[in-house]
Amino acid sequence: MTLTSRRRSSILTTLTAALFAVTSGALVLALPVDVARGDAPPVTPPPPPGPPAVLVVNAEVMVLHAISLDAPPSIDPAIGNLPQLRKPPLSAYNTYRLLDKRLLPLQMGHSATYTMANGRVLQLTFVEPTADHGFHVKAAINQPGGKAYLKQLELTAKPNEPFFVAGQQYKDGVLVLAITLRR
Amino acid sequence: MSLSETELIYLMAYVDGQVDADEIPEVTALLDRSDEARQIVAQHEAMGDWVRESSDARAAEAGADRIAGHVLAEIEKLGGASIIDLERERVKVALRRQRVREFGALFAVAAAAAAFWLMPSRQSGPVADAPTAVTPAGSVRAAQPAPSASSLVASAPSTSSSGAMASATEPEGATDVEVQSVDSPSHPFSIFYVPAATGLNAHSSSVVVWIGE
Repeated sequence: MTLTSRRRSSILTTLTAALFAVTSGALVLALPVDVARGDAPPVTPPPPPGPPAVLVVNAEVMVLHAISLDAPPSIDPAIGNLPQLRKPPLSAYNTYRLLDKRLLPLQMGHSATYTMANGRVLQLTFVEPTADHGFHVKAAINQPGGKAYLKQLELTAKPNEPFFVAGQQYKDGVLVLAITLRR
Repeated sequence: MSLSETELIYLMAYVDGQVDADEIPEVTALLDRSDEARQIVAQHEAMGDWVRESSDARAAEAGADRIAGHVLAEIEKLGGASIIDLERERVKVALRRQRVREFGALFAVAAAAAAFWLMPSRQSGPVADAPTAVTPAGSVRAAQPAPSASSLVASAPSTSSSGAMASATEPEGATDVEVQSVDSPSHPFSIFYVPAATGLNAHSSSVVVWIGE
């Protein structure tokens, strides 16, 4: 090995070591502080006293008619701001019209029903509030005199965050239920 | 024969030109005083001439003077070959190997550093903007970017059997709506987790439960 190549090899070794040092430093910085220090996770302080338990929640039900038209995308202004309509899978339809909008007050442990345009009945039940200020609810869609379309959907939702139940065929399109729980 | 063995050796060396200069007068004196010595020298010189002539003829006949040309011609007949400087080639190969090792090490380090820098923080929300769909079996699959209703139904799992029920598996990251279970005995369904917003509120996601007819 010549002197030049030995010098070059030495320089590259130094560079490699420096890069390893930088990488290791970045890794340590990326770790959570307690892990990086080797500390035990801090004891969770007792939660502050929360707001009084919610006994009634209002379920805003919007019945939307989604269709695909050979026209520019159109969303009924009455629907309001629902960016989910522009994202898959709801963006499969380019036109949304508001068929109905209802506010169903739900008492904890009780249900409320709403009959949709296709004759099916939506049933919403407020089970209980959740520890993170959300709501535990159940939904069902029944066909009077027939099999249940949706026997039961159980979920938790934060206030003002809509969830959607879609897929019922209706007038060359589908029905999309946008359900938002509000205090 | 009156000549001694030493004198014979000197005479043969003289014919071959191998006698040192300080010994030549002694050999010349021997030749002056001995007929036998002169005859021996003459015989040896004649024999040497004959050997040189005959060996030259045989060497020429065998092509000894153009041996390199003959060898190369034979190599060309076999397809040819390039004559390389072995030492130079060894140095080149060693340099190439050294460069490969050096650049390999550098590349590995750079790749590791890039992986750390590009690795999303575990505290950040979902990176992808596309929703995910949870099948009734609980496995998560990527949703089609813009499926038609028919494709959704087709892609949804068949739940025609009784008691189709699924516990949903939420995607990683915070969601504002979390599905615990879906029970739809007669209709196929899919669960999509959809990013609700972008920018600062990109962590938020809502749910679309798509139920086929």
